[in-house]
Amino acid sequence: MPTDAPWPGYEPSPHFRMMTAFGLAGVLVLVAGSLLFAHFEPVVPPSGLHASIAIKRYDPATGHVSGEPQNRFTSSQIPAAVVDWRSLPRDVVVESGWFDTTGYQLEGTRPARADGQPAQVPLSTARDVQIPPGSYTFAVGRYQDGRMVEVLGRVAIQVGSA
Amino acid sequence: MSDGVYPQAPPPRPLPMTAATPRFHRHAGIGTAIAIVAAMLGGMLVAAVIGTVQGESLAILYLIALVLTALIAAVTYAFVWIFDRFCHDPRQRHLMLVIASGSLAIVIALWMLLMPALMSLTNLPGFLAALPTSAFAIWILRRIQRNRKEPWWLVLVAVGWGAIVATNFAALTETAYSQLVTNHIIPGPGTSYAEAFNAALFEELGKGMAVVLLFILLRNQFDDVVSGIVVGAAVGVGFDFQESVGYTAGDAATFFYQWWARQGIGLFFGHVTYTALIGAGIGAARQQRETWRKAVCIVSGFVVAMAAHFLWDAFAMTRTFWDSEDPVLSMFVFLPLDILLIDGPFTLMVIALLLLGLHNEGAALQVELSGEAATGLAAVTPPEVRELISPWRRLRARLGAVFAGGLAGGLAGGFRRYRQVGRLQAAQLDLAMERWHRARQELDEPQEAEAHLRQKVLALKLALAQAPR
Repeated sequence: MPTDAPWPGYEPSPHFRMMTAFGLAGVLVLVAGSLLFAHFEPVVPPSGLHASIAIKRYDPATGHVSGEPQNRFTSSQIPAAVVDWRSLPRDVVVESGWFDTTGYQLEGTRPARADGQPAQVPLSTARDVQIPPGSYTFAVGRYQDGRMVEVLGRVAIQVGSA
Repeated sequence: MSDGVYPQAPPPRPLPMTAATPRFHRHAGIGTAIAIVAAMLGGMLVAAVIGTVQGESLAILYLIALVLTALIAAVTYAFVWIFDRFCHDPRQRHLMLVIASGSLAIVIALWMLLMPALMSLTNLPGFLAALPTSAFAIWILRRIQRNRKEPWWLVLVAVGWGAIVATNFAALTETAYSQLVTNHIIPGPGTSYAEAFNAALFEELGKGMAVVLLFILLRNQFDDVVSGIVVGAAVGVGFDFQESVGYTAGDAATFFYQWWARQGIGLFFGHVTYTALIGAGIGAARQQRETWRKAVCIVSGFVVAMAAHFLWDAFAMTRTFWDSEDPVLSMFVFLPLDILLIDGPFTLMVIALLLLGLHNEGAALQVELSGEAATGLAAVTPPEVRELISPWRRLRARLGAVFAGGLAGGLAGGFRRYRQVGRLQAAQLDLAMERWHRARQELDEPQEAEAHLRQKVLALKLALAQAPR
């Protein structure tokens, strides 16, 4: 063994600095991710408000909902959320929307006072659309500082193959 | 000594047997390995209970399987314990322990195989389409290990863990975590980031445990960062294979997009890169002297792998990729660009570590092969040193052996000589690696192990000299 270390292959700690630097880069990415998560999941005192939601079948031809509330649909059926906005104070600013399992918003309403929100929020308004099978969540939330800060009501549904 | 005859090491003495305690620590580290597997199954049990409480049918099935496994494990342990009370023959006790633990492993393997088997049966085209690309990836991984290759069985165990064990672990834990996220986190970007953490944490833990276990149980197969990268990447290939089978289920557009993303352009990115980073950390830890440095390397490997996975999923789940409505542009321009920009830097990290590791190996082999040749013990001769340090010259020597006897031996004879020379070269490199690890004070094995390797080389040389041409 060569005595004048560091000789390639005989360093006391090969790749240690490089691995540590990569690990630190990883820490930075994960910290940045945590900060983003914390921004969209702020700690706020609960308002005690609760929005009443029912999910029904939506007919894109008439633009109306019908039937009893349900939480299982087929791909050919379009679910729509019917929110009782009167269950909330009129002046509270809210936002609502349909989300897939990764949290991506598919459809929704713009942030506005509760008394200015539409009576029903369909997952899609297009005709002859097939909803991809999977889980979907409809949520109503209190809106503040450019983001939803508190969920006031949510309902999860399952869409199965037609 | 120069005639190649060395004193045989005395056979190992059997371990002293206590009257009634099954001995699980016949192999160094087996206790730690059992603890890790138990922790993994315990984690799955917790996830199964959480999922069951949330009403997840998948979690209920896992809960039943885990409880049955625990019962069978308890009965097996009791049986071995009773057997050991009445049997004092170490060989019979060892045989019983092997049979009992083997049976338990089969039970676990059976229910773990259920999900991958169902996924493959319900999407046979996806399964068949992922086979050749995954096989190609495994072949490449073994080729990049230029000096001492991992044995095929070890690589396949790593691939199998990635495809079967890690996918089960991830499916259950991620499902339970997702339920908690869906019920408690504000929908929107917060959920997306939480889900990105979900995949990064549980998938990398499930895959990384394979590398940790293989390192604990088969430390001799891990030389350095290069071995770690290869074993880690092999686990990633297995996981990526099974994920591809799942994601390619659907219509033709989904099939081609997912196959291209996972088995085409993204084959060596994604899971292969992430788990290679974990393997690199463990491989680097192999060569650290201080315990804290070992820990830093292993943790760094896991952290950077999780970060890489998180970053990709965060872009994917918040739909902030560069993309296009045009499917051709999306698949062949934007997807490769996204992969290069997001996963590319992490793949470059793996390549950098790999190249440095190979450089170190090459330099060390030069020193150790020269040192071995200088001993005059004939296992390595000075003219062989130049040949052994170069993969191309080694290949040329093997090919030269094929035609050494002319065409008299036929193709089979030529192939046999090719393999004989290959085995000799591998044994000589094993000897050099052994010397390297001893010089670095990384070995627990007695000095006799080196003499055994020398004997093996000389026996192979003799067999080659006596082989019919």
